Amino acid sequence: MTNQLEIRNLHASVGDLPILRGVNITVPRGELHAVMGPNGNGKSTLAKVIVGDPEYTVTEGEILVDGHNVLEMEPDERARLGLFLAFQYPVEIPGVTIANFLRLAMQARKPEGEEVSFMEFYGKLQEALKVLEWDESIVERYLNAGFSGGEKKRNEILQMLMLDPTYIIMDETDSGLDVDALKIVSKGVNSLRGPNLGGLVITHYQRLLNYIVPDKVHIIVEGRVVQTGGPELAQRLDAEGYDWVKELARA
Amino acid sequence: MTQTLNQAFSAEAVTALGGPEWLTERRRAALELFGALPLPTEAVEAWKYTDVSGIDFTAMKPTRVKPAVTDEAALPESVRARLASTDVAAYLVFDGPDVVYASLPEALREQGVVFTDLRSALASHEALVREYLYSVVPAEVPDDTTVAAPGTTPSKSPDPSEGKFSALNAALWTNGAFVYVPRNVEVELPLGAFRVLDESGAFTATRTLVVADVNSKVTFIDEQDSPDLEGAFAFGAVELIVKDGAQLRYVSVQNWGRGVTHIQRQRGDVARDATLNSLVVTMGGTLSRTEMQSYLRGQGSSSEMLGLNFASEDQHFDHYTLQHHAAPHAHSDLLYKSVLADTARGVFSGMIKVDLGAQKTDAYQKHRTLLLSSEARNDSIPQLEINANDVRCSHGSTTGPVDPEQMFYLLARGVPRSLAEKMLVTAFLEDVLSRVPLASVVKYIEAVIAEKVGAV
Ligand SMILES: Nc1ncnc2c1ncn2[C@@H]1O[C@H](COP(=O)(O)OP(=O)(O)OP(=O)(O)O)[C@@H](O)[C@H]1O
Ligand SMILES: [Mg+2]
Repeated sequence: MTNQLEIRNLHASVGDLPILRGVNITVPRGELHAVMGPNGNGKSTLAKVIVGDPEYTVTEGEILVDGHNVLEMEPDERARLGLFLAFQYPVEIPGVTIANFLRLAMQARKPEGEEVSFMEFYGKLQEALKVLEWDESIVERYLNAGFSGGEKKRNEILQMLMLDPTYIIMDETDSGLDVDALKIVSKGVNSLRGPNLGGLVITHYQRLLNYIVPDKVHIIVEGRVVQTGGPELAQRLDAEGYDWVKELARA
Repeated sequence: MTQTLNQAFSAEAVTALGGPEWLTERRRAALELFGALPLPTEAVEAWKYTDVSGIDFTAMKPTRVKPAVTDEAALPESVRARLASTDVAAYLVFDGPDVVYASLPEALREQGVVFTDLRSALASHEALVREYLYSVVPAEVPDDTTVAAPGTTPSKSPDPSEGKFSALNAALWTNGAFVYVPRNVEVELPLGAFRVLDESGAFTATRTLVVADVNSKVTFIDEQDSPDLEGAFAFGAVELIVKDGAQLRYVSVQNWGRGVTHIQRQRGDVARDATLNSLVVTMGGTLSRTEMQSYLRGQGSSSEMLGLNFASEDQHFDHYTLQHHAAPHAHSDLLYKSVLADTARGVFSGMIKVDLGAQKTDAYQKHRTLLLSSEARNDSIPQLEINANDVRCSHGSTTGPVDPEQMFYLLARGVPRSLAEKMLVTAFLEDVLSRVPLASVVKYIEAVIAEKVGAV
């Protein structure tokens, strides 16, 4: 019962501007839910609020991760609890290599006094790079610095594979990817799927959901979930567009 | 003047330093100038943000003479540690006023490279030293007034008091390093000088003179290191002479302990098609004022000026840079990065001067400051004086805290805030180091940065 990500009546704003107006979504571990909806209606905001972006203020509601209310937690605590956001627009951090960053992020998950061994790090890295069909030399590069859009997305999945999250949130990881890259990224995500992984997959396209088949689909309009259904809902959106859901929001 | 009452600054002290007569005369003249000049005050543009009125010459004493050692094992621990991990091919170790240890491989000697302390060089290569000593950093402040078109106003002449410390150094320098690389000789591995200081209340006047003759190539690394002291002073002068087609890479790492006041003028004279690459690292001391000047004398000359510094607690770092283009088709590129933590103070004045006739000048200047505390303060003063009409010049300075989006990204991956801040500070400085192809000294600088970042 408590092994789930539970978003209850979540309201959030930027400054005085309300963006989320009562979102309710529950994702048990073992399930991935797609989140869809027209541009500018709060999908990324929801993702960032869950992981604790200080840009946004939560004005009402709760977010429970396996029963723990995370709203009072710092973003790094939430991450160590198992939340992982694959960003829509990952930032560039020149001067920090991917390898060093991954090692420190893994280390941060260890109990006091326990070191990430070289074997553990390197073994995991090899595996992740293989899934992502990526050359090892990539990890000596600075984090996202000068990366193409596709490389940035792939790098998000690399981190996801290395850091063992329990709840993933993917924000339009598919946008800007060609079909080959889309397959590789999906392969990475699917390699993590199992009874212990839950999460949200934000996307505009059925294309991604052909590879990462969601257990449920939620549609967000004007900061609320206006419709929830099975994978067929995504197909309907693909065929008919968003007009009918906007109607639902008005009703 | 009470200052002259101190024996350390007397004509007798100058005489006691010995050397050829012409040198003693130059020293005496410099001493007189030193005595006659007031300390620069905040009314002097170049010293507006750094208060040196508290410097009291009456109380300072010269550093004690230390015995020379014949065995590396007898060197101070801090120097041995550095030597163990450096890749310099030859080095001088200064402790007190004299060189206490020197190494110069036979192969370099055979190439005609002269690398020794200045006093020894005065004995063995007097004519060479006489030709170049004081030629780039004289006792008085160099006149960097721009050459302007007739009828227009050139820049203001420097205030004579800006020569106060260079006069002191010219009069009383002791632990000098001298490098001469003959025409067409390329020295592959870096040469270096380590200077240590361990006496509170003492002053040292350090001097480095590097001459890269026509089409030669060399790298020189100056390192300065001390424990925390109570009131010690280092007055430095660095003369870099890069002749036609030569390439000189110069790195200076100032890592004095707290309590040290560091005032240094470094100036490069870059001739036709010559290249000077410099990196100035400032980490230590309590008050540190460093001037880095490139005089692009020759057509097609080039100067890369890199700097990184990190001030914390009560440290006050003042960097004053000059890119003076006196010839056409020259290129200069300055990138300085500063980190300020706690209540530290940073000052950066960067000047680009382009003389009449220095057409096709390419001059860039960028200073970035990372503020880790709301109580730290930075003053950045970029200035341009351009008297030619066909030039490309740009300057810019930014000051701000850690990028919140970068911080959030690291946090969102579970990295704790304090570690994330350290990573971002290191990354900020790393950008400068990535432009310096000297693995061993870069590693050392990274270690110095890590220690400092770790303490914040
Ligand atoms: N930091 C911010 N400052 C101001 N407005 C913001 C901020 N973040 C989001 N908004 C606004 O909130 C609304 C929702 O934005 P959000 O990015 O969550 O939409 P989205 O559903 O992810 O859209 P898209 O499909 O285009 O990615 C938009 O109107 C956006 O402009
Ligand atoms: Mg979005």
